[in-house]
Amino acid sequence: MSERNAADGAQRGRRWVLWSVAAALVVISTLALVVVALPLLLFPDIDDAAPGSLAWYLVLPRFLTAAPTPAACGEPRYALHFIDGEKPQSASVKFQTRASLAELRTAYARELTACAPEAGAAEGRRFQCDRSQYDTVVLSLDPGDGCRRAQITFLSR
Amino acid sequence: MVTRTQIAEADVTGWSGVIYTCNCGYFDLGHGNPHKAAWNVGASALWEQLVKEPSDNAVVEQFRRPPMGEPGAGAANAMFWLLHDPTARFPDGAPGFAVEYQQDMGRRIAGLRVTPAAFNRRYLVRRGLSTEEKKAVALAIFIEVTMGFEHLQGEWPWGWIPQSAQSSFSLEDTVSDLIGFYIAIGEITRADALAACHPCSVAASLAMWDGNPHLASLKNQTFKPVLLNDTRVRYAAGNPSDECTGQARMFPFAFQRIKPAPKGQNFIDMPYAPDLHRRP
Repeated sequence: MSERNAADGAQRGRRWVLWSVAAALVVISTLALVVVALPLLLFPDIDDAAPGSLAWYLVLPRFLTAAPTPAACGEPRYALHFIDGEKPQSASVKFQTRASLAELRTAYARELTACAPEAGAAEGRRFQCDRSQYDTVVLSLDPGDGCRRAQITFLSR
Repeated sequence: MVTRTQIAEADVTGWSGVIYTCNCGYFDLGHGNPHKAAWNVGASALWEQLVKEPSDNAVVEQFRRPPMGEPGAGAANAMFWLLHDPTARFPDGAPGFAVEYQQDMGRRIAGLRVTPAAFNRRYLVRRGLSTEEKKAVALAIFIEVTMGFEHLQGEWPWGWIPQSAQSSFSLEDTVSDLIGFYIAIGEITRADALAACHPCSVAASLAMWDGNPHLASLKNQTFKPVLLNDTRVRYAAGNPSDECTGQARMFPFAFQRIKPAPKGQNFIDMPYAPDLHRRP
């Protein structure tokens, strides 16, 4: 009888140790995840994220990943830089395109709703917006014909 | 902080990215549109408060709140004096108004600003100052909060986050902030600020960045730019060209005209309950 009790006790002890180790592993891995993920989520400093990448799914804002890439002749790339004191948050989509500046503006009509061209800025390339997700939109397009670099930047204070 | 990509993708006409300028060093064009993010965030917000001179009610509200990092005790004492004299006063009895200014770090998520790292200060500013005196006060406040925020970025716990540590006093930060401040208070237009700095081409800015690898880790704790001694760039096999030829290569006077006001005269730290000044 006493041998059976001792065996039960030992089994309970082993189970307790196993549960403790499992709980400790869960706590440590959760903490590690928080320590790694939180800075990336709150202070993103992404220069070149491809569509379908982890950053594209988890960190980039939806309005950026949904931004149109008219007449694209290459895969788009995405960037996101955090608010840094007086410097606003900058979110941009970069791609090669055959579209003209006018065609870019037309493609971005939805994003430019509630936006007005900025006085004194290059004609039709910089817009001040009254929107919750961004305050300024900048359309950059390299000069020339054919496939060339375009970048749409959304600045948020 | 400056990255090679931000230089490569700089757009001077669109005011985005980072570019080397002959007279202001590396300049972050993102600072060129200094409108306010919240009532107390952004150089424009600071200037707006100084111009508008908030009412005494706003000052009473400020007294209720303890300064950053201090426990909320003594508010009852403050309210006692405010009931007797609701005017916030300097030690010499002159009336003042409250100004609050903050710099922070974070991002927008679903339209909301999420900025867990913030440096915030509140001040009492003498009423009835001239515009020039207000500019001097604004600059002093701006410098104090900028320095505090840059230090905050480099200190624990934020300093443990690589992005924050790299950004703390990065090469172009304080100077770009200062230029943005001058634009915010209406001292200079954006176009004139850029002309005074004299930007180089993207290709030259990149070549200079690549030719000076120490710049990436360089820290600048002053409001003076880091100017490169040698701005000559050699493309392919051609002769070196220098886009800064004929430029003064000195920080323009336009960004040094205002002298920051000394603290204690026309502005003081917001007195908290135990330090409230009574009518003399």
